[in-house]
Amino acid sequence: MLTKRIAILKEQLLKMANIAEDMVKKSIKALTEKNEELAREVIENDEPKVNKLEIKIDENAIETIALFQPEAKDLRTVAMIMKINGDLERVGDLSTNIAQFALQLIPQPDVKPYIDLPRMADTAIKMLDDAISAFVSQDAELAREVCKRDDIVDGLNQQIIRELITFMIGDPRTINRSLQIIRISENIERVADLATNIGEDVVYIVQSKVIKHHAEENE
Amino acid sequence: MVKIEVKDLKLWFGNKKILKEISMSIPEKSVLAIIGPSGCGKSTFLRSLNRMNDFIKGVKIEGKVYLDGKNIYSPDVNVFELRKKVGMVFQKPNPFPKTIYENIAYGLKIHGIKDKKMIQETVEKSLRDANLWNEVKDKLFDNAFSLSGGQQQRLCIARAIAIKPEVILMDEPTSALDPIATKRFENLVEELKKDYTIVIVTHNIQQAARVSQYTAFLYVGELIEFNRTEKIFTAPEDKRTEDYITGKFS
Repeated sequence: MLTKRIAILKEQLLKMANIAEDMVKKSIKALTEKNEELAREVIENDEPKVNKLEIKIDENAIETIALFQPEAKDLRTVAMIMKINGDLERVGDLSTNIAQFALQLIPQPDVKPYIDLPRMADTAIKMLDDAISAFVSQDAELAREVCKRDDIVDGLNQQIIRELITFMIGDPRTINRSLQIIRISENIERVADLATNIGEDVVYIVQSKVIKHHAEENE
Repeated sequence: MVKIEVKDLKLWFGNKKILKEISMSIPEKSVLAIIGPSGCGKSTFLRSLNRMNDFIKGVKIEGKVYLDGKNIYSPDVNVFELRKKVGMVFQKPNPFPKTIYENIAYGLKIHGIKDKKMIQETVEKSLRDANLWNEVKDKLFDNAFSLSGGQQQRLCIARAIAIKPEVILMDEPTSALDPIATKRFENLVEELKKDYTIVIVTHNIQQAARVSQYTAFLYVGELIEFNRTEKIFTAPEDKRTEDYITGKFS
């Protein structure tokens, strides 16, 4: 009975992950391809879907704990599903932010061609994708590897900010647009952080080890 | 669909009022768990659903219990037929001191079934449905007391379902079983609910949570709360229910 409940929870979480991942892709695509309709789809269509699903998964997880008193790995799985659920909902929020900045940027001329930003987004999306794959296949190694990639995204974010600062100094008319791009970049960086959280949660489910806050290095 | 409708049920043992104006609707093909502290009237309520209290001296019952719309306390009801429809499994496994086979065949025979082949088939089907067949198929003619407690309890279920009841009442059916036998029993209940309406009295709150779709909380003869199990166990409406299931009193 509990096994069946957990299987349903996992299935719902995967659905949530698919929508959230898709939202990141769409919001970046909306910006680079200047597609306002796609940006609006993220804001008006996808975000409410993710919010609704988040509540449903939370309710189901609480019910599962109340009715079936999971223990050991089952308990870790249900507890982490609740955390991952919250993280995925945040990914949805971040994508919505990106889509909103995209809507402001689309009518204006580009400050520079979008090269680093999509690259950074691809890395963050791949991290999210791998973190979820690690959850599905209970692969702690892949989960740990996802966490290591967070530094790459942090580096790309810093690089984008540095580059845009030079643009802003060179031409103050680009300040407004550059700031918006910086905020998009920071939102992508947060997506990578959340993917890292998910990776850490997967390690906890599979190996019952806490690797957050560099816990292992401090041991 | 409602299988059993209890309306304003009151029950006294002598001058002592045991059940106070209980009303509830029990849906068909579901499991209802009745929980509550000792002496709150759980078992008495359960027994009033197939008129088992009739035997008790000094009992007085008022109110109505409808089974498929027919009041089981109306004078024209044949109690023998009623108990065929509403079977019961007790706290302690109570097989007859006969063979495993006879334990099931006996009930069929007293209900007038004579066809040997049919009896044979029903014995096998009932044992299969009670998840016991594989364990006993090679020793059907051993004495039922040679089985373990958990097996005996599943034999009692097989015996109850052999006569094709519609409702099965269970009075703390796992209190004498070890955890593994309890788990097997709970899995069986999960399967049985596809075909039967089950009402189970249990002291084990977690068991109520695991096996039932509806839960009724009784306290000193009063129905405090009746709701879907997930609601009772995540957000009960009455503080007394909350206190009981969180172990603040027992």
